[in-house]
Amino acid sequence: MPLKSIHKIVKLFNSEVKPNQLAWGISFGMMVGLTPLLSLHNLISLLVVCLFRINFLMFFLSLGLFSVLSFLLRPFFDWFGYLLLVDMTALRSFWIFMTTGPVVPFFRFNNTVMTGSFFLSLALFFPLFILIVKFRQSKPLAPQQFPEGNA
Amino acid sequence: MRIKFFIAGLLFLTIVGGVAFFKIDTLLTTALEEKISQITLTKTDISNLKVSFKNWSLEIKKLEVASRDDEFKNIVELEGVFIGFKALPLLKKTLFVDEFSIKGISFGTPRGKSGKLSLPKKSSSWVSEKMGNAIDKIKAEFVNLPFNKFLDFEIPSDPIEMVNALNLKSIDVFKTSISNMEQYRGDLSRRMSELRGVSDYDERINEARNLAKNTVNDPKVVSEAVETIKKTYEFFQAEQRKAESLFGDASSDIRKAEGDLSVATNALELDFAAAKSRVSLDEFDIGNLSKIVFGSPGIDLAEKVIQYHSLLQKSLVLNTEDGEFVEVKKRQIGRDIIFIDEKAQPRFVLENSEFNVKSSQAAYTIKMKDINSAPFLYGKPSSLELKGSFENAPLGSASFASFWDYTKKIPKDDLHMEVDQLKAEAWPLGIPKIFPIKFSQGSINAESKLHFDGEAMKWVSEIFFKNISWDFSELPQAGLLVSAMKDVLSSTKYFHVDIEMISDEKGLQYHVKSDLDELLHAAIQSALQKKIESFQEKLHLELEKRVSVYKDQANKNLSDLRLGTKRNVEQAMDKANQYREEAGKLEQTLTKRAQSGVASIPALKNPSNGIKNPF
Repeated sequence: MPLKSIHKIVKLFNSEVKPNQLAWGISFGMMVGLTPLLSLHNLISLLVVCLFRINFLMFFLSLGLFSVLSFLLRPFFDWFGYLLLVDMTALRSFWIFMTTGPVVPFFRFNNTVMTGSFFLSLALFFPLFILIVKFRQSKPLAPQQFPEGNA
Repeated sequence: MRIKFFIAGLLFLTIVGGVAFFKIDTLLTTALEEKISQITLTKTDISNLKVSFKNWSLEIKKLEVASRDDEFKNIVELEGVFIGFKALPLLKKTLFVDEFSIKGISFGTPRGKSGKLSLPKKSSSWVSEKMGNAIDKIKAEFVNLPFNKFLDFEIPSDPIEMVNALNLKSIDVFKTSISNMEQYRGDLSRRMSELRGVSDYDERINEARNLAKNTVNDPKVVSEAVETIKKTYEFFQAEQRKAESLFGDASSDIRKAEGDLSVATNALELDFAAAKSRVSLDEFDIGNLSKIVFGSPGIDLAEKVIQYHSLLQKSLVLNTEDGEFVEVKKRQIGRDIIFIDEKAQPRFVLENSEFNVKSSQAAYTIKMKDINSAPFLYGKPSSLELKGSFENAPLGSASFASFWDYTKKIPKDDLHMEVDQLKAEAWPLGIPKIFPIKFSQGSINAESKLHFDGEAMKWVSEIFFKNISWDFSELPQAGLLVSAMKDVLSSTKYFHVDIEMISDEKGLQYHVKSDLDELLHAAIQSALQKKIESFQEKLHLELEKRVSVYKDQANKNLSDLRLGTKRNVEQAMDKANQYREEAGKLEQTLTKRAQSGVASIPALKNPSNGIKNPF
């Protein structure tokens, strides 16, 4: 039974290997990894990953990698978040809504690291997705590498 | 679509959420305990916290906050805390309390477990650096008071013994001055010998006078006489110059000698001051002894109040640069930005609450208005009033009213506290281990007003003591001062103390005044001052006796220099001057005579035969 479960998990991790499925996994993993883990938007990201056909393995690998990177980039996130929240006065009314409107304060967008990392990951989200898709399409997997049923 | 995984994920989150929901009481208990402990720096225990989403309320059966001074005591214990809050503001992350009550309040209750926390102890850096330094300076004043001398103060009986114990510097200075004067006198005497002396002057001038008087009208003889007188004139001129130079040196030496004597006299004064200070009350501020009795615990208490106030102010006051509409607060991860905007609301608001708490031993009335976590967003000042009356307690009644307006850039606070029928035993006084005195009986009424306006502070307290008995049992057997104090204090049952603490641009001033001051001062004056002055007089005489030999000798040497050496030089100078002038006149007279004589001798009108006319 445990072996069967492990096999299922392995199968799950190796499913959804089309280029866009891999790219979604990496992009979502990047977003969750770069931003502080315990946050509301990450919960939503996780549900989206579960709901759509997105590669789990790539998602978790990307999450791990970008989590490490986020520690190194924290001062930059802080600077970038401050830039968005304070220095860009044109956005002031948007931020006031984000911190005073109903429910939205729970996203904690009044924090410089949270805002900086979230909006940076959002900006990188689609370019990373396109880059991975293009890369994968230029180097397709050999037929024997496709797991059964997904080829 | 992977609906199966989505449902599984959602189910998982629902389970987590459900567990959190059902465990919210425990989670909230831990979070609240941590939050309160961070403020009080001691352990906080909450028992039986219950959140009701039906009534939107929170109930706490018991909340204990441990004391910072005694780990097995609670500073306060609250029972039956009820907090009713509005649901909708929660969506905006705001806790809006519309009902608040407490069933029981107790102070100083015992704790089963230690209330010590291993949190880093906050120093006086809580307060501004300026205020912290000023408080430390005042505290250091008490530590550095000469208490040992104060406690051991006695008036000695033997001035000889005391002078012996002194290392008299004036004697050495007088000796040096005597030796210097002798050297000046020796030098001047040696140089005096270079002058020819008054008798020699007389001899020379008499010779010149004789020549002028007795010279015959012979041109050659007259010429020789004129030459001789001219030499005499030059002699006196040279002597006068020598004497003038010597006079200048003598004057300078006398000035030096006078300086030496002045230094020696000053040294004698210093020796006397040192001797006097050994038997003097000057180093004790006997006009303000109440500061010693009440000042030290007062400053300790004041420091704690200022620290807590500063902590409250720092967490609530708007901290923005001028013209900025955001406040930046540092957090563990990044910084939180608070936008100063009319739409923004504090995270916590308690709009209005008034309730009574009654128990068998106490009754309290508590009023709270507009208590909130961000006054500059809320826009209204806050107030808190607490009145309590007690039965079988060390305190009869107490009231505390606090008003703080942190809605503007410069925060303002007004605190007013009154205490009635406080048992005197509970009042701290003296200085532990150094000056341990206590009250053993009596009661106290006190009123304290504290006002902050930005950095400026004014704190005035009036304390009235009634039917007081003092306890000196822990005070070591002490000297005359303390025993005089004891006599006065033992017989003083009613008195009052004013404590004033002002912080402004001049710094922090701390004054303690009492009607005890005059009584203590008068008692010490009458008991000790005459004895001290009499002994100081004896001491002065003894010191003068010791130094008199050297002092007299130094004065004699100076007198010799002035009257002997300098006068001789002056005399020689005057004589040389007088005789020089006379020799000059004699020379002129003789020259005229010679000129008139030459005119009457024809042969000399046209000198020939190699005869040279000397004129």
